[in-house]
Amino acid sequence: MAPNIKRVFYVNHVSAPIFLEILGQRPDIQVDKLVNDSPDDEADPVVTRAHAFQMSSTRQELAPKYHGTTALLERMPNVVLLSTTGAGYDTVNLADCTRAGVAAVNQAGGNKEGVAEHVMAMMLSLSKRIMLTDHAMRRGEQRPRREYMGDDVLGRTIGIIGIGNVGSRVAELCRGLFRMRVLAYDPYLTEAQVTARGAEKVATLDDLLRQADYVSINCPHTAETRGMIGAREYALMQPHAYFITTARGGIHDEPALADALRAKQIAGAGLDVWDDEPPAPDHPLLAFDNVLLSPHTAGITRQSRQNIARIAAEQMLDVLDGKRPPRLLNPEVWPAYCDRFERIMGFRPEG
Amino acid sequence: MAPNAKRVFYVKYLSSPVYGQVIAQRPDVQLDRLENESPDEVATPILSAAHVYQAGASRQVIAPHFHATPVLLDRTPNLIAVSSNGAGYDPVDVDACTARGIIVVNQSGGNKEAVAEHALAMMLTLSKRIIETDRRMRAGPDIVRNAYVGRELVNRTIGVIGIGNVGGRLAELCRGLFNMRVLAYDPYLTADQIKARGAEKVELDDLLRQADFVSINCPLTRESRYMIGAREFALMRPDAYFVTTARGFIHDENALVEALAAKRIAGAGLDVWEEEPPPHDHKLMAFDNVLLSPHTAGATVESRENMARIAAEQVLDILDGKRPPRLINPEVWPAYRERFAGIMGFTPEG
Repeated sequence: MAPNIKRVFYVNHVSAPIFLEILGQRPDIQVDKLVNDSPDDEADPVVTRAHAFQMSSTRQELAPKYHGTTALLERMPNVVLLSTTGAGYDTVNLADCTRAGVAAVNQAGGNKEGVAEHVMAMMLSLSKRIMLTDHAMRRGEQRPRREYMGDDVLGRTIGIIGIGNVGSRVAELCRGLFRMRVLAYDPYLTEAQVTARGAEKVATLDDLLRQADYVSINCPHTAETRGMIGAREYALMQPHAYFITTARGGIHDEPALADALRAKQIAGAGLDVWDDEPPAPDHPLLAFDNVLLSPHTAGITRQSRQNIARIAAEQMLDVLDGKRPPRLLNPEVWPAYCDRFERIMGFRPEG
Repeated sequence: MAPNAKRVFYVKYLSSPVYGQVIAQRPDVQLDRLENESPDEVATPILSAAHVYQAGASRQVIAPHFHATPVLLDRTPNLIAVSSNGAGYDPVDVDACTARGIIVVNQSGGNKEAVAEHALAMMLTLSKRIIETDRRMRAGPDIVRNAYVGRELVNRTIGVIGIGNVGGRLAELCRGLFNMRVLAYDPYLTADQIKARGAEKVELDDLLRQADFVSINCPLTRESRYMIGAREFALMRPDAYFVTTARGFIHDENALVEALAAKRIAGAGLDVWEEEPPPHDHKLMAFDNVLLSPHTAGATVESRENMARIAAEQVLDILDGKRPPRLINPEVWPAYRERFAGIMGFTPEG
């Protein structure tokens, strides 16, 4: 029998209040809040009855017992949807969800402007050597200005690894008024698709690394991309080139990057993502003046939070109303999902 | 009668070897180099024969006796032009040149890309709070990322003070890349001229009240000196950033310190200083939300080459009798034509 009330919960916080405002306009939806250490007698009834779980994308922020694995799903007989707050879904095991007939969705694209602007900020600040001068000035070093001579980005070459939502916006920014040559490595897209996103498809990753003045990682962390950029790849980069990543830790090899910087195989790096987040202050990559650091904040801008919260709420309403969500991470679940949804919600989803 | 060799000299340095490469393509032009320490027996013949002085833009690097003042000009009877390496021309006494019929030219606009990119780099890096996180991560463990939520540039408002070469390029980048609203304060341009550069003409106070980012891009003059002080910082929004890549003394550094300490503005990006480089204990260096550079906005490999190339091309134009595109003292033109004809043996165009 169909439930009168559709139940949603989240742990700790939502991206922005607009998420709760949108769901709050629907009298048939109840939203509960838990925190990482909510006592079991409070958490169990919420988890057991929930139809949808809005969850953090960041493993470190969410208690392991709330990660989307079989252990959690077995406690959630009524759940149909796990929805992450960001583009990432490190906190969800897609195979476990699929096995249970539960849909997993993310908010890919919701923070693309925030992340793409972070890439541009790092590219420009590194190329203009601003952080280098800032560090030197605060230490009291007074060297001739010509030692800090940078490079304009106008007309130069960027190589984008993974040209999805963020990568496409980076391509647009670089190509437009900076008239840069944009190379893209993306084995999941055809040459025509890459061209439509404003870039030249390179045949191999090596071609991109050899030619780019700036290398930007914008692909997800998968079994294929894990460790994709290591000592061999840094060695292929030009000595004046900069490495920038706002994607995920684990795609680039951190010790290899430290070695490449020490050997001056590359000119510097902009790093928003880390193997362990946040990295410890004695992390070797924190010792370089030509490295610009941020703690996985590229996608967290006020505008991105707002946008992500809005599209997350809208997608959740779509799912609870029986529609197929636009950002489904495990499409192979669909037949099993439809059965599970119908059993729990009392009607069959569209599509 | 025209001389066989047209003579250009410089002291100590050029912006880039490109300058010499462009000049070398012309067999009728000879380029001489002097040092600050060159003895008179070396310097005097070069100075006496010179038609053009390619001058360094920095007072500190060029010895005072090679500043283009009456003392030097007395030694250069055949000089027709002083050409500054950069946009600035601090070592040149323009009035003294004008009095003798000598033209002064600069390379304004030659580094506009570099400076505009620097201003944009500072805006993005401040707005995304990257410098704050960078410092905090180096200082200690356990940064809380949710304490550093930044802002995007897209659809926001920049106020450009002085919309010349650099301001115009910055306006283009902000509008084109980020769909920003661009306000401009520039009393020397009409609303139509400002509109043609992609911005809305406003008064200074309106700009300060409305802008999310305030960028100074005007020259230092009697009018712009201390144009931005305590009153002006107080008009800015508490979430707005102040960026300057123009010149020291246009903003009041003490007033900026007070505005930052009182959190009346969100942060600042500073490339120019009253004293350059600024002393290590400068109060503005104590803020984590201030991004510092030592007047390096215009100093990129590309802009040095560009400046050198346009400088050499302009000098060749002058020697060929054309009117140069970046003339600082246009009022000299009639007297210059006479002087040029007397020295070079033909009358320049225009």
